[in-house]
Amino acid sequence: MRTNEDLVHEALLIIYEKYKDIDFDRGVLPWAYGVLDRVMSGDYRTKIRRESIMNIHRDDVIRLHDNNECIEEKVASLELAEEVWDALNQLNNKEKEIFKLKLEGFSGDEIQEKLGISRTALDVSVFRGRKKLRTSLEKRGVL
Amino acid sequence: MTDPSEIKHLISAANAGDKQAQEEFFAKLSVRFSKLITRELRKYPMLANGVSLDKKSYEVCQYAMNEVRKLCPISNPDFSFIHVINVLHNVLDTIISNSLVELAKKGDSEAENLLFSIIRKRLMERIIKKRGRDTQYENK
Repeated sequence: MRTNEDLVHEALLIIYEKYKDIDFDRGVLPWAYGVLDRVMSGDYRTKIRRESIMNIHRDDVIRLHDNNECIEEKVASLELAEEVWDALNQLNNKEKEIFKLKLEGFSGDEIQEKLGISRTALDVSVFRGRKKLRTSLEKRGVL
Repeated sequence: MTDPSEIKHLISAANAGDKQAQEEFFAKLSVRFSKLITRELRKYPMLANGVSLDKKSYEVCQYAMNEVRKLCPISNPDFSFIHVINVLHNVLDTIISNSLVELAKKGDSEAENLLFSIIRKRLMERIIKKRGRDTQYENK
């Protein structure tokens, strides 16, 4: 969660960029409060989205697919979904976010753009995530 | 004005509908607040705009008192002296920031710095107040 300082700083940047072009009917402070409120709402929405991404649902696992190397093919059946779901929740936040987006059907390029990371960073996270998944599933006797 | 028991007494009387107590309360408030305004305005000499500091303080004080009378009617049972002080500070910050923004738009960098320090202070107060409230809701 971003600190109060961060949010105020972001609001101040917006205010600084725009205040010269605005006629303040109700004064500059109410307008500045509005800018801060919008920044806070945006931060709240991001937080909610991130939390939902971190919470990988079991049903999503059933739709798991990948174009390249498929450990996921081996877990296509419903009985294994629970195990895979638990294994996915062992990943770190970044890896979880990437796998969640993959489950939602986003391509590598789209994920890269959404998360603002390089292709190499994405590939490394996918590689590590898969490795962890494989180990975790092997321990559980799924693979 | 510095005697809290006197203020308390005046507020109780004004709450009960004593017009003279109301006027006395606002007169005392006005005297006290005009000193604060003069002190504050001294920090922003660019706002004088050819008007003497005393005159400017008087104008601001009259405006602030009208706002207080409007926003915090003393006859209201929920009337609170702290609320009055908050309103007065808000009015003062609003007047100063509105004047500074005009100067800043004209390229006065000192006015711009002062404006942003006021805005920053007010935004920090707001976010602390709002986030505190949000946290309370989340805890509930």
